[in-house]
Amino acid sequence: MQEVLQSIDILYMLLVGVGVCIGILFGAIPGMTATMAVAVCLPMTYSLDLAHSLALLLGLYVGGISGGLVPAILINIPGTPSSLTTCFDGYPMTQKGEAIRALKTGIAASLIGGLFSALVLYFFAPTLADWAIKFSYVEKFLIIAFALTIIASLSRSLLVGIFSGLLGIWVSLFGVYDTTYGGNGELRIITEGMAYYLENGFSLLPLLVGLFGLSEVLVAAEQGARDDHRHVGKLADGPQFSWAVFKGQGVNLLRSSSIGTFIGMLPGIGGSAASIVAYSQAKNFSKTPEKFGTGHIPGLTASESANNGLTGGALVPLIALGIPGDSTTAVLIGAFALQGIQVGPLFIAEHLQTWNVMVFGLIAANVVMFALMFFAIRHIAKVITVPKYVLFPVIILMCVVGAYAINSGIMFDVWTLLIFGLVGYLGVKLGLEVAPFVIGFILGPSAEIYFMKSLESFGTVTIFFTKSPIALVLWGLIAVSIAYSVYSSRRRGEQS
Amino acid sequence: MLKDLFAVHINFEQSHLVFPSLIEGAMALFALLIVWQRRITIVEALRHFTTVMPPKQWSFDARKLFGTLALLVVYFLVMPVLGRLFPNTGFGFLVSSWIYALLQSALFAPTLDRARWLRIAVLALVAPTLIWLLFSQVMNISLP
Repeated sequence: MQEVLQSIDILYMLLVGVGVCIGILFGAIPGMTATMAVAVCLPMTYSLDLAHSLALLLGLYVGGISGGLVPAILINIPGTPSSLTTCFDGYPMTQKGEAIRALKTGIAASLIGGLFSALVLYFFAPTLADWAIKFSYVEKFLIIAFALTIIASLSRSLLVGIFSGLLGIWVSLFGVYDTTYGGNGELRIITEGMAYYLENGFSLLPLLVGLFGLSEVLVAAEQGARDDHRHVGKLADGPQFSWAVFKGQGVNLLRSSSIGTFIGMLPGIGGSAASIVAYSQAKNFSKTPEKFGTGHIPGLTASESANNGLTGGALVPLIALGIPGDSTTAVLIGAFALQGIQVGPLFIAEHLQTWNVMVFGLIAANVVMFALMFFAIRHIAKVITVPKYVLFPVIILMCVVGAYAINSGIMFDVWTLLIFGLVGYLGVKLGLEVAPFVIGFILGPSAEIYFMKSLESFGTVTIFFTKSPIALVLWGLIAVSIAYSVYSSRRRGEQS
Repeated sequence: MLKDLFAVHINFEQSHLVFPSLIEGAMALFALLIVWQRRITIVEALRHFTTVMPPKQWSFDARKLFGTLALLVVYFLVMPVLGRLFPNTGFGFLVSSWIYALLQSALFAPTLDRARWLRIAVLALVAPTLIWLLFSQVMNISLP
């Protein structure tokens, strides 16, 4: 405990605060996301140690997710995809002159969801990591296969989702077959002429910043860089917030936070899925479902507690298995890599202090988010009026700094930014799923190592089925995720 | 016999190609399945290509999109050239970013009057300078 407290200095708390502030700004501006906030601000961590980097990044993450409720409630546009269902009841409350009450209710629900997920992270991740330590190469490969199929199964199309994941793996294999992990040091996929730039493949961070930062700027440019905010009038002095709004909401808050946290644990599923499931469950269990969508407090609390519940949940597979729970935690992997630390089953045991500091950072970020938003919401609400012609050039400059500096000054990394900005922009138009692509890119090299080591050690493909009961369970889970996707796709087809 | 059927021997010299080849095969398979699943839509789209997507009906802001791409390409080309003129100072980034931020903001601005030009010019001067100061001078991070 003493060691943890030593890591938490004034700078640490300041970075949490700065992260939350910038995150709220990104979350509150429609079209900008928490992932973009973390990706764009990553260069700010280059000169920090891991504990201070995590303070900033967790602040950005929590702030980015929480800020989305501001435009959702005030102008009926979700600031981030995870605030989609916040519009349903938040905006009708604004129309009734209850904007401040709606905002503060959402902020308080976000705090409860965030703290709940931090507790789940603290108690569940070590258990999962202890269990995962026993995995051999076979089970580790199957875990990655399961992660990819579950992401793909929740894509709009299972086939496209799997294809996108495979494409991500393929792109991650560019360059030499690394001798560090038993490879033969030979080039593959690329030619000798490209080896000067791509001997070690594409760098992760320029790729992520391109996909999540630059591509958003290109999308905005395509749409004319219009500011889609409407006029935000003076926040009416309607009914004030009181903690009494949560009376009788205990079960709803617990259920929605649990749904958010659980969905966060499933790799690659965004916050929009968490809030939609929590909102629909709150409506299903309500005695007055007809009130949902008319400015009903339980709808608002369900949505906001679920999307903040996602934050801690998404960190569980990242810490325990080394598999990112969502696109934002995929960027966090880059922050760990920068410090030379590999997340996975051994992380908590080997870096206990960092782990404790990290959980503290998540809790602190939620508390700071609450304090900032609860008491300064009238001022924060103004950020949604910042025009894009002011913001986007600054974002691009940050992207360039991040890409250039990641490998201490390689201009090809800046071009990588542009290449994957275009891939993100055009790929979405062609139907490519970005989340499976990114997870595939991150997990591709590990998948290759585990696959090849399994075959080299056992000399037969049957080992993937016969190694252990866990392997069979994982095959069962893969089959269930695919079957679920086929079933839900047919159901959607029938409904339409 | 059945055991031999599933046996695998990996030649170390060719081991770098095993996993990429499997992934490429799987990608080809899934690409074919996607095309097969969407064959009717694809055939319809190809048949009516000229009526579905005539250039006049493309509803995107070509000036801002292609202008942004052109600015980025020129910005990335000019930055290292200027950087070589002032090595280890980050001035390549700073000077090219002043110009880039000015043009990019002007491109994105809905209208341009005198007051907005002034605001854009101040932003283009201040934002890159602050970023350069923070990263290059305070954090000692390498910039072109």
